[in-house]
Amino acid sequence: MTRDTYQRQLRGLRQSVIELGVKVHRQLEQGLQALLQHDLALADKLDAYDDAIDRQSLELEKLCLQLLALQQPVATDLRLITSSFKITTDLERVADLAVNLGEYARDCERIEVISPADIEQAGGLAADMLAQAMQAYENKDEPLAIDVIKRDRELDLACWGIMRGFIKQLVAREMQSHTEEQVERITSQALTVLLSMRDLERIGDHAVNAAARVVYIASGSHQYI
Amino acid sequence: MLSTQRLSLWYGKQQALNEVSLSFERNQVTALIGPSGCGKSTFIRSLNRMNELIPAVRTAGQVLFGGQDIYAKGVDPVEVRRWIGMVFQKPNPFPKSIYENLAFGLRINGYKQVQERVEMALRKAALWEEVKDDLHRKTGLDLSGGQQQRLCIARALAVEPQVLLMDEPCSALDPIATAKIEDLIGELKKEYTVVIVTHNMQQAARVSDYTAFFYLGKLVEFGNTQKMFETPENPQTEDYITGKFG
Repeated sequence: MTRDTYQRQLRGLRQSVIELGVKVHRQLEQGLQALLQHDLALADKLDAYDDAIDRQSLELEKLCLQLLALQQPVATDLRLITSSFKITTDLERVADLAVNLGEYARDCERIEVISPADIEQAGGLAADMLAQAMQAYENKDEPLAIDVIKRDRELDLACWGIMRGFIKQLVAREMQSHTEEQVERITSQALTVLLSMRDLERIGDHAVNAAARVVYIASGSHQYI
Repeated sequence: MLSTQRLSLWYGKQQALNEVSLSFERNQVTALIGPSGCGKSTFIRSLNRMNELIPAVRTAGQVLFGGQDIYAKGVDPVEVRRWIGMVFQKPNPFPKSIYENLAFGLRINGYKQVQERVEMALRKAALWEEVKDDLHRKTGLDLSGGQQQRLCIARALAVEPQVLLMDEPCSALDPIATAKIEDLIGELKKEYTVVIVTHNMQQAARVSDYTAFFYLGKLVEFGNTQKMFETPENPQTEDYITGKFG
């Protein structure tokens, strides 16, 4: 084996991306928890975690650029580095969206208009997709990555179903008279549910992006990118 | 236009090439890569019968140029080398004037309009502007390494070959001179078919359209350069180009 230092750097890059994925997944679960349990203390902590994730993402980007500039990678190495660069961006975005979920908790009391279990289910699906994409990255598992890509439809439908159900509730309530306070409360919940679903859907998209890069690493196929 | 069919070569009892079949695309650059001793230099030298100059060399198989086996009886190797020119690792200008470096070969090959051909070849080798005022005053050895190599390229082009073989043409040059030769290769392929042996993987990636990977005298993989460097099919190619061995 030659180029030992370079090979060590590549292994280090992979390990760091895997670790970043673990942190972002934890951040997402905490964002969901803050939203669903209206845990404002936890929501406050997310910002600090996000700063650490941003710093780590920047370090990873620097490492990728350094490897590209100094080692002129090709073949599997090139695919690993360019994909890791992109996956890092996706992970960093997921962490931002997880902070958003905590922010929504601040803006609204507990969600009552629809069942929180529905949101929990969609959130769990998004988190699973992310974890699965990162597991595929760790093991260069192309079939698992393709499975994530296929599950995106499931998440889209779940988010869409929740938003649709919620709007239906609003329309039904429109028929009844409400106090100003009730209108305010329902509006806050509407914003929270709709924005949360939008963000979960985006998290799914980022998981799909990461999975598509894993397919590229494993086979060189651009099919899903 | 140029291809080999099951080409094998032995230096005495030592087999250096093992049934290599490869076709070179017209007006494209093909890079030959592989670790030292893999047979890439032997192979490129077989393409214009340069190996014949080494004693105890035996070949089997065919090298076809325009449908004609260049090793067939009655084919003049000097004529072959005029069709298929070659530039070597170390620039080897004659200790004569810049002009004579090109004119000599033209005259002994019976070419007319020698002066015009010298200028044309120097222009094609991107050297004319740098030497036009010193054609008779300076010798080939007065030029820088990069200029000497371009002079050798001009010398090969002067007799109007169709194929240009380059055996590690930049290995003795600095990065600026290397960049000039690499740019020149991009220009030359508009008129010539170029085959280049290089140890520099990045150079192969930069200058070639097709890449052939040799290992232990065999052609392991041949294909589009971008594909070879992004998604090679053979694990041996992958391991070599990523530096895991070699």
